Amino acid sequence: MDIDRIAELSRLALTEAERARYAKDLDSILGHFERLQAADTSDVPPAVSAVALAPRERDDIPRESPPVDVLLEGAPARQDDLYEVPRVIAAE
Amino acid sequence: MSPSTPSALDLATSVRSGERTAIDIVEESLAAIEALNPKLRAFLKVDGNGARQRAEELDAARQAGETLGPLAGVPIALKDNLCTRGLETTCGSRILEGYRPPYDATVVERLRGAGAVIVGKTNLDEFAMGSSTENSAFGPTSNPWDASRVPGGSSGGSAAAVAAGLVPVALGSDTGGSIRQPASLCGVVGLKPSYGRISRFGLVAFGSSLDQIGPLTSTVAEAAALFSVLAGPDPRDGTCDERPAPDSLAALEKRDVSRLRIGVPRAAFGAGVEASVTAACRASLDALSARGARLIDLDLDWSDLAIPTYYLVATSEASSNLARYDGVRYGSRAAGHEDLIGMITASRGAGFGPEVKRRILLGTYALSAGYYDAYYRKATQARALMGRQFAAAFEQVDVIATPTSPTPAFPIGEKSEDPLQMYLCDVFSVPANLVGLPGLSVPCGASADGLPIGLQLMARRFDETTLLQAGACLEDARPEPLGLPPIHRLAKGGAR
Repeated sequence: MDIDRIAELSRLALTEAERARYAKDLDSILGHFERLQAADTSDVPPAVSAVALAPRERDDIPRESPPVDVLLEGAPARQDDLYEVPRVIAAE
Repeated sequence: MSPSTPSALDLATSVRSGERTAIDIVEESLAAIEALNPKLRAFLKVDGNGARQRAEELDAARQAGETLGPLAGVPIALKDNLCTRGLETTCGSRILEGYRPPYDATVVERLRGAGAVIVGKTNLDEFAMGSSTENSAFGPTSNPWDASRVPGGSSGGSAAAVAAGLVPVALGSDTGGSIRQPASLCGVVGLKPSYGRISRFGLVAFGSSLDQIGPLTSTVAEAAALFSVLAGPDPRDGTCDERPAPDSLAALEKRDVSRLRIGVPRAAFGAGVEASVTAACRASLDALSARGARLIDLDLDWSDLAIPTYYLVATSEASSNLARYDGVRYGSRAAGHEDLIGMITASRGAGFGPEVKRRILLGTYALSAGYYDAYYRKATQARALMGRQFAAAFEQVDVIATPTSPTPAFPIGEKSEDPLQMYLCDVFSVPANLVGLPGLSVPCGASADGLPIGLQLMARRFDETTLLQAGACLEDARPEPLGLPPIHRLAKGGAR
């Protein structure tokens, strides 16, 4: 397994020790999971849920939402009514 | 099971009739928490002021002639992945330390509406990922029956709080057994309702096709009463079914053990299950049979499929659900990063604990290009296959019985370094989540050293009524209850 690639896709900063440990753990876990391949599922369509949920419609009724200040209370950084984040697009 | 703890139903009756006040009951609960929680660490947060204020409101409402709800004055604890407005909700994670939700979960609104009094938030494995509560960033909870052992997980704090009599009832969540397994290990009743029965609005998402909320209680009757309060449609959760909540408590009166057909999968009582567990579960099934229930052996065997299927589906969904913890809108943010991706990556690396990282990595891998078909897609097919197998079994039986957990409570630290061994604990509980069935764990006996053992019952989807009736039949049939957990005896002097 390419643990560096999976860590990057997962957006997880990991130390070298963590990388080694998780690579080993995942190898052991996936080794056990190999038994799944023995199940004959050739005629079984995949089920992403236990139940087939039909799309449900509801009336679009406006309702009160919490005030902006309350919603922003948990933000690690804010500027006025906005979330503040580091630069999104790298400077040339 | 603490016979000294009055039933939530009796408490509510006494408050509604004016025989007792809500504030008096809440003070008792808070005193018990103060005495025992330092040793148990079942609660992460106790809301003494909020609870007292709510109790006084209820008492005033009664004085003014209002009719109180079915849970009037009942102290209740909530697993700390249920959002409570203004009250810290951490999911047992550093990444959400200090987070105060701007809204209440639907179940919290319904409990308040029924007159329940929320006394605090209970410990859990971080983001409900674990089977021992050891994965909490704030330290493990102890089992009231033996403080050196785990309470199970991930709703370990809620199970321990009920078992120790700190509260009569609590809520947990169950993605792969997280209500039923700790209920079994702590000697209490745990109900995971059918997928779609109870709104998950305000439950912090882990595996959205699996998650359900449910009660942990001392008796099946209390579980039925809570279920009826919590269940029913909610426009804020699109997966929540339209059918109204049944009156499951009233239905318990109509139970008839002689009409019960109990399926017993042979494989669930074989290799890999501790002898004390097999013996206690067998004895309780024999007791049901002696009262007229029919036991029907089943060939149903999910031992190879269940764990890989569950852990691939659950971690895939978790890897997506937990993408929201990015240090932008809430939670902790790593300092000193000048680019967005660097900040997000560092915040997640610092904020999540080892098991959460492991599962995010596993789920990301299972969904990644080149591996999706072999892992995630294969698991969704195996899941459908299990659905067919259970549907066939339910043509012959009303409920299916297994041990809830292959072992009683294990020592703290025994499995925490071996994630696969921890995952294998869940072999009996994950099928109900994968297939969407309701599952119930009821105490059925104890090991030689006095650790509780639970029997799991599963029923057809949306047939909680038969499930709870079967659970009540088991309570009627089983040998003497377990008595008081040792921790209660230890600190009894301090609590009163």
